This record gives sequence, structure tokens and C-alpha cells, in this order.
Amino acid sequence: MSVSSNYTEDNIRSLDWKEHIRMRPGMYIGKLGDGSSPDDGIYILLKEVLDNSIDEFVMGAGKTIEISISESGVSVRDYGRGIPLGKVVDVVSKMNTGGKYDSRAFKKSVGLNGVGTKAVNALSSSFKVESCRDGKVKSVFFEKGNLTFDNDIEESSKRKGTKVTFIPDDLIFKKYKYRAEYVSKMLKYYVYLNPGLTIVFNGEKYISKNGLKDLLEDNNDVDKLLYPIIHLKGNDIEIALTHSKVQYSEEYYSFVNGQHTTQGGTHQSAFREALVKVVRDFYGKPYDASDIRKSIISAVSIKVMEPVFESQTKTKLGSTEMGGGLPTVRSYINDFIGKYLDNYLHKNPKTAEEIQKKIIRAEKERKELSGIRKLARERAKKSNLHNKKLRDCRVHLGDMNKENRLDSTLFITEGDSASGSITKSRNVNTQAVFSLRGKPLNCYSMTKKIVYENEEFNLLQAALNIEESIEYLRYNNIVIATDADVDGMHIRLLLITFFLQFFPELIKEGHLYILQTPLFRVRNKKETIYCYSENERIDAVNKLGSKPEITRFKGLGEISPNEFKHFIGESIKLDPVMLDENFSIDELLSFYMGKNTPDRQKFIIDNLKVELDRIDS
Amino acid sequence: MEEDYIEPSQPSSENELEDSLIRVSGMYKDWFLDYASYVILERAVPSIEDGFKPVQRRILHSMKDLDDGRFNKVANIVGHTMQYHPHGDASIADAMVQIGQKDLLIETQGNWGNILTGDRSAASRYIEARLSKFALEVVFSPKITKWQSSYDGRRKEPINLPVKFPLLLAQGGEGIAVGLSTKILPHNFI
Repeated sequence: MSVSSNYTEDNIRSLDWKEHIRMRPGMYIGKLGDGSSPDDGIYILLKEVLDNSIDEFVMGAGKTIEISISESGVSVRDYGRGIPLGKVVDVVSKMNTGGKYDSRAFKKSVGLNGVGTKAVNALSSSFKVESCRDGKVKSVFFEKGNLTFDNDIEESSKRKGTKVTFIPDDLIFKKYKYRAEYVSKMLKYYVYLNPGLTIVFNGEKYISKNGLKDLLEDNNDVDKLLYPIIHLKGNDIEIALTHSKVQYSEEYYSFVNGQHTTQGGTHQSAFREALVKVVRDFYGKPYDASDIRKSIISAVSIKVMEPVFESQTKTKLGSTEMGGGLPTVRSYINDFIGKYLDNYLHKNPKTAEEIQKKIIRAEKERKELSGIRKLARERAKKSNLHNKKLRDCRVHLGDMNKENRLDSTLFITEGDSASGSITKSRNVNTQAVFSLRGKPLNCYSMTKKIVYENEEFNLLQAALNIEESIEYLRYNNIVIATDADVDGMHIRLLLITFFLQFFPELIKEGHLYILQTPLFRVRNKKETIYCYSENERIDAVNKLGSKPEITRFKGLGEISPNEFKHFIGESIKLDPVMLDENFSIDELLSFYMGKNTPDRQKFIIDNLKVELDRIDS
Repeated sequence: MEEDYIEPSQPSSENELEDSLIRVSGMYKDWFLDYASYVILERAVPSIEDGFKPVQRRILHSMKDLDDGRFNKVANIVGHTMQYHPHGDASIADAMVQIGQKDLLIETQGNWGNILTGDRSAASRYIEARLSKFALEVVFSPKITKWQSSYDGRRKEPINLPVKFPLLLAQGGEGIAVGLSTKILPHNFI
């Protein structure tokens, strides 16, 4: 009937390992991307290489790891034991080869499938490994997974260890660029989890003395914590926890063998469960679990033998056993917290008292909200069936078995001007649209009640599904797509204020972006160029020569659906919204969004931007 | 072969890694200033020179464009004004009705509403307007007007109108911008 019926032996293909990796990179490194988001492929490449160095450190070899990233490539140098010289080629280019299959040479390591470095190799336009041990050195070179040069073993005076240098292939990672912020955040997690380890990144040193305690302190304003961080350490477990004064939601950082499990897993749920149990037993009162966990900020890290993850990107732990003759993950964590947290609370009555006060306060707030929440729930139930502001997509972040779940995106648009075009030109599988009407409310200094009372916010919350916890977030990317005019900027401010105020984790974890749309279209009869800045416009005009037609886009409504495809398709330009380390959210919001102050007046007057386009006649 | 391979250069390129990243405080600063500057200079606060907000100046300028001594439909004038004012038609019509209700610069025809009873004017397709003799005498003088190009670069519009009369004091003015606001009572010179 049709062409597709030609299904014969010829259609069945067996791919070479590197071909397979290059064809289906998603299976190995999650998503591709250009480096504008922290889970983009190029960071996974770095991580895969780094994990091996970390495993060396964990086994007690090499206290320093040096990393440098520049335009000419990435290099990672450790001072570990070095790859056994005879097997260097195999380890980086033969699938399913590695030293981590038996637990003899590596206990409790992250690398375990023997896939990571090969994926990096296949996805790099050039890849070099150099291993030194026992005064000898061996180096090999690859291009896109093909061996190009195999040096013989030579004598050398270099210190033992391994050095891996690679350049991500720009055929696969289009226009990629490493962002120092994301790399530095990733490295910080490594040092928190490996006390004593020093990582040197482009000359800057990363080191942590107090492990997870440092993590919580670095990620939160210490003044906003209710009581000093509780920091407990056992053989294969480390936890740190406190409650926040200002944040509403629960915040967990969980790790397995040094791997950040952003989606939690068995260890995180065991931790949450254990915490509730201990607190209830300690105070002898059946507090509601959500009251106990409200505003909690915590980190938990465990070491498991032969961990089982739910995918190659290792973001969710599936193991139930600790391995090595220990009990299950759940009872191990339960026992540890049951003993040590209980002891801690007995020894620190002040902290215990603070926690109890906090729980009682949370209970009171919850009861106050319950009436209005019920109403909102009913409304949300309706909107679940039909959220009138939302045009949903098929794949969501929570669909663990979908390959492209990390691409799930929600566009928040301003009015009808853009939502129509985006709806028409979007990828229905992964891109959803939420349209605002007019300007949203300035919710600075309001309580969480407003999220339920204001219909727009309530629907947005329902669309994102973050009422209970950010864990259930339905889209990996939330993109604010407003016009590039002044009112569009105002809406961006109001929306970011909303997220900062009520869902700061969303921004902390890098889910929020601003869509960049072109400012100008320059075209002649043959070619059309879209320009994102004044400089690009001048270049384009020079390129197209005599009298091109120049359109300045004032609003997204001026862009027709067919054009829009370019701006939200593969070459989408997103600016991540990122917090500053040394700037408190509260000060920022109260200055810009709070009551008018003489300071702000002066700031505005001193910095007025005047645009005048005079005509001299 | 040993070291002439890709040897990443040391930290020098730190800046290149960071250039395109603006933190949230930077975003707030940029956008807030853009928005505040625009609302102050281009929307809510009248200019001290001629006493007009941009939308009012543009309305008067286009009325002068269209002026042939006869009444014009307000909706037509609004449409013409949109060549200079890149915003909604309703906001232009409202601004025009307000000038008309002061009964000084615009001669009105039809139901322009009543500020004392709070009745609204009829829709802009029903009512008509033309410049008053006073306005023609006092507000315009193309020879000494300084010009700027309009938002799309297709036309020119006055930066200020060369008003020969303290209009701001006579008409008063009111506007809430960002960080600043204005309130000037109208004065009766007679």
C-alpha cells in the first residue's frame, strides 16, 4: 500500500558503539542544549570525566583535581592511581569496559556502567587521555571516537594520575558555551560531598571543610535560618538540616556516592519519613507531616554499594539495599536519624524548642489557609480538566520513561498577542503555553494566601503543579515570553517577583528563563536576517547591501507564526534567571517592588534613560 | 606530539565564559530603569515646557495635521494619532476626551461626558472635535518647533509644542509614574 511496507532484513542495522552514541546522545547524556541550562549535555560530559577522578579521590588517591575550561577545550587532571597503562584505549573506547564492575578496586563509586567516558569520547571532536603511573606514561588521541594516535608507553617524570582533555563536538552541541556559574556550582557540590578534596578550576580553588553544612550555608542566607544547622555524620551517611524563616516550601539536596540526585529517590523519601517519625516521637505529639516538613532546608548524602539509578543520567536513586551486609536504605536511614537526631534534640533544648514553635505556627497557618485552599482546590480540579489559560503539551517533566521530558517547556506569554503564534508554531509534544491577561499583580510583601485568591496565580500554580512541592513540577523549563518593550519588561519583573516570593527553589534550581526574541528583521528579496542586538543589525545591513527593509519588532504580535518557529525551535535563545550569591532576595525585592522610598526616587532620577531621535531641519 | 595538542589556555578566558550572563539583580536594575524611565518621560508626567504628556501632544499634533476648519470624528483623529503613539486606541480616546472636557483647546460636538456627574462620553465613533481658535493661536508654530522621528521612523513629531501661554498651570495635570508622581491644580486666570 505504501512505501513503509518495505521492511526487510536490510532495515535492521547494528550500529557501532560510537555511531549509536552520536545518533542517540539522549540515552547517554540526557539532552544536548548549548550550555544555557545546567543540565545541558556539555556539563554532563564534564561530569562523566570528573566522576572518574572523584572515584579515585574517594579511594584515597589524589587530593587535588585540576580543571580548566576555555575556548580550546576542557581538561581534567587528577593525581589518582592512573588508568592501568595497557588498558587505556579499551577503557575509553570499548563499550561496557571498566574497573567498576566488581567492587574490589572501587567501592561505592558512581561510575558503574562503563559508559560515561566512552560517551564523552564519541561526542568530542578531539579527545585525549594521558595516564601516568610507576614513572611511565601512556597517551592516546581520538576524534569522534576514532583512534587517531596511540603513543607507546614512555618513561616520564610526571606525577601519577590521569589527564583527560576534550573538545565537545560542535556538530552535536551547536554553538555551545560553558557557563562558569554552572560549572562552579557543580564543583561546589563535589567538594561539599568530599571533604578534603581540592578542585582547582581555571585557577580558582574550591574546598569545603564542613561538607553539607557548607552547602546549606552557601545556598541560604544565614540570617534567614530559624536555628543553627544540625549536622550529623555517620559511616555511610551525612545529613544537615534546618528550617527557614521565610521560605514556604521544602528544600532537599540529596546525594548518592557523591552524585546529586536532583529527583530524589529511595534515600530522600526515607529521610523525609524518618524525620517526621523522630519529631513526632520526640515531642510525643502526632503533628501533621506537612507541618513538620514545611520550610525545611536539608541535605542528605549516603554511600551505597552498587547503586541502582533509574537512568544513565543518575538523577533518581532506585536502590533499596545499602549492600555490604547493611540493612535496607530505608531502615538504615531510619535507624541513623532515629538515634542521632533524637540525641541532638535532647542535647540542644533551644533548637528543639524552636522546631516545636515552628511546627505549631505551620499548623496554625495551614488551618487558616484550609478554607480558602479548599475553594481553590475545587477550582483547580475544574482547571485540571480545563485550565483555560493553559494549552498543554504531551510530555511532562514527571514522565520518567520519556526521553524528551527534559525538553518540556512552558511559555508564559503576555496577552493574546503572542500566545496565538506560539500555539500555532510550537512543538506540541514538549511546548505548552500559558497566557496572562494584562499585568499580573505585584505580590511583594503579600502572604501565600494571594496565590489562592488571585485567579491568574492560582491557575499558574495549577499548571506548574507546584502547590505541594516543586518535586512534581510539570515542566523543566519555564520561559517568560513577553514583548521586548517596556511593559513587557514590567511584566517580567512582576512574574519574577512572584516566583522569588513564593517559589524561589524554582529559580535556585534553574528552571526559569527569559525568551529572547529578535529586535529587528532585516530583509531584501532574497534573504531575511533576524537580529538580536543593534550590532547584529548593522552587520546585517552591511551584508545585505543596498536598502534592505528593516522592521523593528515592538511586540510579539508582530511576528507571524511561521517566523516564530525559528525563535522557539532548535535555535531558541534563552536567558537563564539566576540568583546572585551576594545579594539578598529580600533587599532586592523591597527596593524595586516595595514601597517607594527616597532612595529609590534618587536612584531613578540619577539613572533616567533618555532616548531622543532628533531631526535637524 | 606531546604538548602541541589542545592545551587549554589558562584562566584568561574567564570573562568570555561569563559575558552573556546577567544575574537577577542586573535584570531588575535594567528592566526597572527602562520601565521607570519610560513611564516618567513618555507616559504619566507632563513636560514643564508645554504642559503636555506625550499622548496629549500627539493628539494635538495630529489634529493640526487633519485640521481643515471642519469637525472631525474622534475615532478618525485617534486612528491618525496612532501613527505617533504605539499603544491602544482606547487609551488615546480617553486622553482626548479629557482634553475636550477642559473646554479650552478642543471644540467639541456631541456627548463628551460630564466631569461633575461622572457620566462618560459617548463612544468615539459618535463624537466630533476640532481645534479651538485659542489652540490654533497659542499652541502651534511649525517654524520654531523642534522635531524628532516617530517610533517607527516613518514620520516626524514635535519634541515640545511652542506654547505661548502657561497651559500647564491653566489646565493642571495629574499622573502617577514610578517613584515619582505629579499633581498640579488647574488655575483660573480670568
